[in-house]
Amino acid sequence: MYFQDVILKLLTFWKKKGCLVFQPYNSEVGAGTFNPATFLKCLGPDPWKCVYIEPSKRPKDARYAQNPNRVCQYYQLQVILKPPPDDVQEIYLDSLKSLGIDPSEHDIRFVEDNWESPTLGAWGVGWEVWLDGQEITQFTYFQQMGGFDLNPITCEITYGLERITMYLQNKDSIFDIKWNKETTWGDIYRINEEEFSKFYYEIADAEIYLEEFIKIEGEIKTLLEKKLLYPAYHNVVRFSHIFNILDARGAFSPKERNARILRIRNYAKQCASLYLEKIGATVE
Amino acid sequence: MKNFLLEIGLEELPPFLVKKGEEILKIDFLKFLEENLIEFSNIKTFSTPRRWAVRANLSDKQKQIEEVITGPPKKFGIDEKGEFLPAAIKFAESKGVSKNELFVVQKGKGEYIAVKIKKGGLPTRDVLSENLPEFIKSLKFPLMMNWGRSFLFPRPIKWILCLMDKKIINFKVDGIKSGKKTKGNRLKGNEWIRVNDEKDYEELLKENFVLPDFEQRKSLILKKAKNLVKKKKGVLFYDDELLEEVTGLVEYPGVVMGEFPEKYLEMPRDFVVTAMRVHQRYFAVEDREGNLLPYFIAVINNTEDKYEKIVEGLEKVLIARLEDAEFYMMEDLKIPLEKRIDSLKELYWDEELGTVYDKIYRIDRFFEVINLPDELHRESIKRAIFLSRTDLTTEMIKDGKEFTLLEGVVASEYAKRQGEDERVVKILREFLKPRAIGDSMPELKESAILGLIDRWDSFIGYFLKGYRPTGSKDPLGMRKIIYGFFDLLIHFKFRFSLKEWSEKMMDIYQRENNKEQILDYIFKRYDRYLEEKKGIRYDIVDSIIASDDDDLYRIYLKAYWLEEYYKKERRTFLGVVVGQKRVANILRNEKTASFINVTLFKEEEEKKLYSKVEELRDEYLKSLSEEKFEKSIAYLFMLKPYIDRFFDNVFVMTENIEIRKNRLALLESVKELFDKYADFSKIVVSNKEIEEIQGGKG
Repeated sequence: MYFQDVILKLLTFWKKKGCLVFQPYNSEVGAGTFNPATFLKCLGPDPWKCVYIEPSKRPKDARYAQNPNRVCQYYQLQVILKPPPDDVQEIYLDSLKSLGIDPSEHDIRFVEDNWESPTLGAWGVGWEVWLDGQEITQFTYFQQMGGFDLNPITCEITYGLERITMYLQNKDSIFDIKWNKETTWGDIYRINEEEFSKFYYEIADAEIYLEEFIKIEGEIKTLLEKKLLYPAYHNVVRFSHIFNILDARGAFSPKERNARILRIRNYAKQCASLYLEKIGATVE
Repeated sequence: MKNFLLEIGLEELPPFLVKKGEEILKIDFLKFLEENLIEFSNIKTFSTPRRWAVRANLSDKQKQIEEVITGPPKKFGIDEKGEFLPAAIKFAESKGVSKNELFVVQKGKGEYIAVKIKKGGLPTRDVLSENLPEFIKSLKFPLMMNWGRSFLFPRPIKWILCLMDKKIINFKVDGIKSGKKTKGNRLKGNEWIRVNDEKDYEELLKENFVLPDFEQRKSLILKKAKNLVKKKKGVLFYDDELLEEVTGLVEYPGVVMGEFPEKYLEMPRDFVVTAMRVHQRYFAVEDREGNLLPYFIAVINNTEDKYEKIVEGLEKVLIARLEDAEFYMMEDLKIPLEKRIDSLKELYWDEELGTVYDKIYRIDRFFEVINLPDELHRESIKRAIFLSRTDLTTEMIKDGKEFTLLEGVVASEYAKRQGEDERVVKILREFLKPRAIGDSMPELKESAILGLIDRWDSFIGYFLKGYRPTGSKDPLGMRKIIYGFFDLLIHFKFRFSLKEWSEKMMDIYQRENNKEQILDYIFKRYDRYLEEKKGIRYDIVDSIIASDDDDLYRIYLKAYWLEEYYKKERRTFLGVVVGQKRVANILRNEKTASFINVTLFKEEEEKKLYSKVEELRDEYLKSLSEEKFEKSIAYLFMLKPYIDRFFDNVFVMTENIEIRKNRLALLESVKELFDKYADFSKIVVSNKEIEEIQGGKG
């Protein structure tokens, strides 16, 4: 099965389960959780079901296209179920079946992995799902988001699309994945990986980003004061990515690093609170 | 007796909670049965990642008991004529009995109106159906989540199976209805299975690829693993913690073997084992000489008949991890450890206490100013100090994933490859030992010295910045630091003055602080440590600390021998303590003569006590200075009969001031001898123990 078909299969599968087919966020994020369709939508009482692809950008995972498993940009498929149906694990396993993975012939396991995002003030309990020892999905019942207890709770299922495809196509390297009949993942992204690795580790000018960090922070404050939620949150997302660039560059001492994470979290929390206010939900 | 079965079906539990939760369920269920007056036998519990279950034989009906319930005091309940007053009648009504059944009981000092209530006798089935929902809801586990229902549970509950005498016990827990169905192995169809008879439970599950007995699963995994490695003439690298964990990760004990390219064995053994063990939960395989072989054992939640495809996947993942390790190592070896020392200046150890470089610098200065045994290889320690934290700057450790556990080991391995002295390599490898409670000690005394100083620096630093851990919260791990410190000094019989160590480290920190406070803090922890780890009474340790000793190892020795004596000769020991308390009390407010005048002795018993003290003194002091504490105690306790007879026959507080002062001076000389060992008056003697001694006398 080609990479593009894996994507289409899963989108279709979840569409049939009643999920709204959404789109990636239009700014760099480290994980699909940053997309407002997750971060904001899991707050408050209203039900919400959606599925979307999110390009996940992680400067620290850059490996100059030399590691068969780690890259600084890959694709997540994110499913959000609020509230989660009772048989959510079975539905998930059905989605693997739709990709031709027969559970009776494999070792599929739900291995405890509790998730926490210090920058989003969020945590949850759940599993990473192993397919013959390979982690292919992160499965989380969010307990808190932006510092707020969730009610109802939300289930987040995050598929590592490349990992699954490598498995299906029996490839040892992400770069060898066949996107379609003619083109490999490497054809499209190898140079991209090499160049971004060089950029993140060697070229990125810490000064520029440190300056931008400060400017954006000012902007966030203004926007929050004016109660402009979406622009404020958009800048929190940018803020977080710039932090990741600086972090990969080794620009922070651990002390400073922690202090900055706390700052991002603080703004994320304020956005969550503003969102709840705007939808008229009671804030504890 | 009727067969009973309760199974709670769950989404996959964290592995650590599988067996632990089974134990909790068992304890709480027994308590539940007792509270509900249900008799039982043959209780057995089960656990897998997807279920906890309990099976037992239960009495058909509750036990019947009579309970006396007291109501209002007699004076409000009955008038002089013996007629019941409204308060008593109301009480009877509230208990559902007629006033004729009321009677009067004596309780404490007063008399009360009371009634006998019969409890129990109801059919067990009805009691369970009524009370099990609350029982399940009130279970408490070390990890709980909000799963969208009215109560917290470790993972969402998927089904409840509850049978008694082959019939469902009907109840609902927050909408989940009890039934007679369970599920088999998720990967083998995940079908509902009907359980018609409690006795068939295990057999039915086995048919559906679930082995519900934890211990059985565990031993089967081990057996299969041992058989597999035999094929490669290998030996399983046994790891009980890992075995427990994987047993908590599967319902079926599937075991497979995989291999990886031999070239990775060129990496340090610990890197390879860590890559296998920590994330993947694979067991390593060794040859008979203990060398690593390029194989691994993995546990799967499926049968082994289609293992090829599964093993292929398992191998690929491991190779990716080994690949990561190799990438890190190659990158790391480009920069020698020596050159990394400077970058420690940019790495914070602690916000207030400065960088890692500051820490190393303090350790070095401290090392230079304290007294150390001559036989130590000082150069190696000094070199190791400067290299000791350089691996914090390596990719291997910075990755923040499984290899972070290898702090120290990474520095050591790189040092070896960079041609550092063998001893330095060993110190780097060992100085963080013991890494956890129960971990082994380092082998070299040099490693222990660095370990001690490193911990001492951390402790003093944290203490100075005002950090104090509480029972459950200790984010900086101070308890582990202090316990490791104690472990090392006792294991290596390491001698130093705690006062000197405190003063010198505070000088280096250039912070003023109350030295007494630090000593006090350490002593209190030492008390608890010796009690927990060596089983020594805390007040025995206290009594020795109070004798103004500040050599922790000597305190341990003295306490050890005193505890031994206490265990063997309890009565004598307590008698001596009581005697010394008496001596201390008498001397507290009295003036003694400045020397003992033998001519003032009047009674035989004081003469005898005096001459015994004089006879023993030199030998006793010698035994103390030679640290033959077992002997010292024997000498002290030889005095006991003389002291007892002295108190029985000699009146100390006599009118004659001169004689009195002389007798007090004699007691003082006795006390001086005891005080050289311990302040015995600090040992706590309970009233019960006093009775015990006195009872012995009479």
